[in-house]
Amino acid sequence: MKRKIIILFFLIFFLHGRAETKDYQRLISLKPNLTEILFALGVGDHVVGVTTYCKHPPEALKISKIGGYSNPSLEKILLLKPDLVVMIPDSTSPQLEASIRKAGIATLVLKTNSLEDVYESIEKLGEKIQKGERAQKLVREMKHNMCVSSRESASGGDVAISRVNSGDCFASLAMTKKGILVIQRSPLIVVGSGTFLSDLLKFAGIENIAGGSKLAYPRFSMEQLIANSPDVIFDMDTAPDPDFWEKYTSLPAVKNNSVYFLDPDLFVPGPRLPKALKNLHEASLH
Amino acid sequence: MKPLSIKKWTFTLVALKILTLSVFLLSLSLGGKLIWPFGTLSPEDHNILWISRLPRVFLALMTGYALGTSGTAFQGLLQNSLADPYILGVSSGAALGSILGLAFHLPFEMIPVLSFASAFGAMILVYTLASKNKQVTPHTLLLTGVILNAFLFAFILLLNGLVSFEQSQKIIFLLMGNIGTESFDKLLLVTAFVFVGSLFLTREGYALNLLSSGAESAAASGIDVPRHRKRIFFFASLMIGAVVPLAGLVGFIGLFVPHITRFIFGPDHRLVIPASGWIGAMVLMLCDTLARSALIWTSYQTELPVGAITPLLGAPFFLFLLKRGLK
Repeated sequence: MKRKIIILFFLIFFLHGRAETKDYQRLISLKPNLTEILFALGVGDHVVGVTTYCKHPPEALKISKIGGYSNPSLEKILLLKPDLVVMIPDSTSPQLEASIRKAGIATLVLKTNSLEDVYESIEKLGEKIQKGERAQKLVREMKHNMCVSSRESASGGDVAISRVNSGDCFASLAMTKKGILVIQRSPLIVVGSGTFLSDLLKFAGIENIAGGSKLAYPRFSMEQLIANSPDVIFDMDTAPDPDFWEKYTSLPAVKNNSVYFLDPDLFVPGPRLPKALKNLHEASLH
Repeated sequence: MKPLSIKKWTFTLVALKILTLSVFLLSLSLGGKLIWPFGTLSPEDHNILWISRLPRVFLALMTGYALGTSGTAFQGLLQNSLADPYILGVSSGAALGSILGLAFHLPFEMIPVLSFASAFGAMILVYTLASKNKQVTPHTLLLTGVILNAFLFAFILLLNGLVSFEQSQKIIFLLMGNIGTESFDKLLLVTAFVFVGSLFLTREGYALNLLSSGAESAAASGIDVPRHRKRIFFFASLMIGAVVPLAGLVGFIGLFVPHITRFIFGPDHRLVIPASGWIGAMVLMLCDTLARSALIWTSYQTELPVGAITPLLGAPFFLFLLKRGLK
């Protein structure tokens, strides 16, 4: 019995591990960042369905919409007759994935929480759609550009890179400033830990004052933010409002004029992350 | 009913106000960090206390007052111990109004007005639909409230589906019941609404005493029942309409605070109406202090919405009262 189970496990892993690759012709993306990755891999003209939130690259705007960010329509997906649907693991994905598979359509679930996830997912997706080399090249470029961005800022004197591996940019950075990345001001939601955004902060040499939270995007206490005196505040709320921060006169970030409003559309876990990091650097080193 | 002397009335309310002030100061000092408001403060503590915490505690006070008072008014007027703005659909009416305002990007000054109008509309609607031959049975009223709630929620969910992702986040927090740091001009507007509402509702105390023993006997005592009913609906909706756009749907306060208040002070509405406001204010300030500080020092480092606290305390308490056979 035990042996049977072991064999069964092996079989499952074996079958699971052997990703079927194919020249997929009709692709659907269920998240904006996946749409961007598909375009970056050069298969944009095979994408037949995206979400209403997929606005980058601009070509994506012309593609049929399958629903919003968290409420894709299964019917619309099936109507578009895709041969591969890419998605991320979230609350609706297990059920949705099962339904799509039942309809005989291939699916690929890609994790894009952290920076490492993004790299891995790009490579996995590339392999799946037979664009493996292009994917590896894209990841190499991204890593390189992240590195360049960090090095440039290092020469600005604020961040020190102690070690740079060949190709791979492993930067052990000196955290010189305390900061916070605000997703939404009211109620206050910030970047916690284990996300690509917390990774970006690290690359920018900023110690995240909400980094101690186990949650990815905690609803943070304004009182705790004040008590931790951030030197720099990145505000990604869709409606920039300088007056909101001005009233907290004790904040070093306010005193030093270091509250920056960032464009949330750029901070998407996809190919534009090096650009996003550059944006973060430029803001904090101006 | 025992006669209420001016002395008892004044004494009780002054005592309650002093108590509320103490709870206010307590809530102001408690939180992620203990800060005593009367010491010399570091700039950080000054910011935490006066800019972040003060508006929030104040909003809790106003919201608690509005919910407590209007709950008492509804329970007395409708002779129904389960009537509360949340259950009757008045709060949902107010929420629909605020969400409409949010969806159409109206300036904030307009939102409480819209919220009040739709709360009042919901109140009139639920009452009209539930009354049969000028009689409202408790059963029909509650069921009508449940149905109206569902109906209003359908519109709220429709709007939620149409607005942007960020607005949808705001709507969700509104539906959860959430006390946050709001700007002083918004709070001033809310205070004005609540103040006017409480003033007039307190004036209805005598009428409520008569109404709570039945519309017929009230009419026999010579008061104009429909007029008083409309007034009470109007001013209670005014208060609910003012607090819901900021605090959202905070449940249970309007249900159990009137019970506690009557339990302590007896049934006389001239006293219970303002008293339930102050007790509601104290309860909600304490609930929000808990919401503010409960999870801060855990590894989650996060805050809870107050809507997660009020039923946690309110539901068991209410069941306890029910078990003890309180009407």
